[in-house]
Amino acid sequence: MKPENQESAGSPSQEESIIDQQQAAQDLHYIRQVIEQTRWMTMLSKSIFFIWGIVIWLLVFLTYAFHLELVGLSSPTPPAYINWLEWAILTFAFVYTVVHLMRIRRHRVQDGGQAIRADNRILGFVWIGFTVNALLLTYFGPLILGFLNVTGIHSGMRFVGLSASLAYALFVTSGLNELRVLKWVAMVCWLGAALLLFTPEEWVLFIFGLFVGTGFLVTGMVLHHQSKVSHDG
Amino acid sequence: MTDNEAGFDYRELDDVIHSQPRLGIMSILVVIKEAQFVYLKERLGMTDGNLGTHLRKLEDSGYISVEKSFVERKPRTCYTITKKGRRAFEIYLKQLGKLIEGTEP
Repeated sequence: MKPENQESAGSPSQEESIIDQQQAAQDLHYIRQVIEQTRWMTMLSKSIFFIWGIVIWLLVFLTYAFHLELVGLSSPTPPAYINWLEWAILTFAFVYTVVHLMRIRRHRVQDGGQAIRADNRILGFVWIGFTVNALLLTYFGPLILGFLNVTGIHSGMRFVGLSASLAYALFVTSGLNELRVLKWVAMVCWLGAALLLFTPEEWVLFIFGLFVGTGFLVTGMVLHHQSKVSHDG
Repeated sequence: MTDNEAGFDYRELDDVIHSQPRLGIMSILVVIKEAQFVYLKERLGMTDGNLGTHLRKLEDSGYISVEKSFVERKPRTCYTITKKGRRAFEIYLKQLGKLIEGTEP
């Protein structure tokens, strides 16, 4: 940064220009760090992590309560409204996430520099990649296997893939935004993925909810506590 | 290419914004609607006196506005970026970007 009382005097030499350009790059990097950290700590963090933590636990609960055949246990046919309820919960969480991300975009400084735009682009690709993985593992994959009458595949493997993909996305996000708490959640998701390899099929969803759902809720709580500082002054 | 050839001199940057603490304050306030003193202090790792000095300089320049109130008998000081401040910050970023582009062959 420029010293407080430095006055402009004459044209800068080439050496001064190079130093200034390096300084400008450092300044822009600092601005990018502060903006990204603030954005993630205040807007994204508080609600999206809570919402998805609750949604995962709700879906795990509904599955064990009404779809026992999905976890390898016998059960009566669930009422039709349960399926609608599950889709409504998922749609709500998805729409909520999209609306929040759009709000973040709107608050973004338009001329925030190439570094900010590049980071956002990387994050965008990482989370789009995760969404594709999630859809493939939880919806299209089983649909294709069912269509091809392929049986005998441990359903837990899908959730291993889902947990590991989520862990990877969180880990990259943590690196780009320097949010240490996300790195720990990523570790928990990886640990959950490893445990799922050895989990009996009927307990796979429960273990998934325990590690991933709880991981989201804990992250939400930690970040909520951090941003709450601004309301206690 | 020198700064002058790129059409910009680094020393022409807005002095009010061009200091790391004030840059940090502005960078936070362009993202969130309002921030309280304690929040800014924790985020930027500054002392009360130091932060107060920088906030006052930004306030005097009309880049931020301050609102003081009491919540449950405790004083609460909220800072918000003004239109003038947001515009100045955008110009500052543009100037930095322009300067960095000047390094490319």
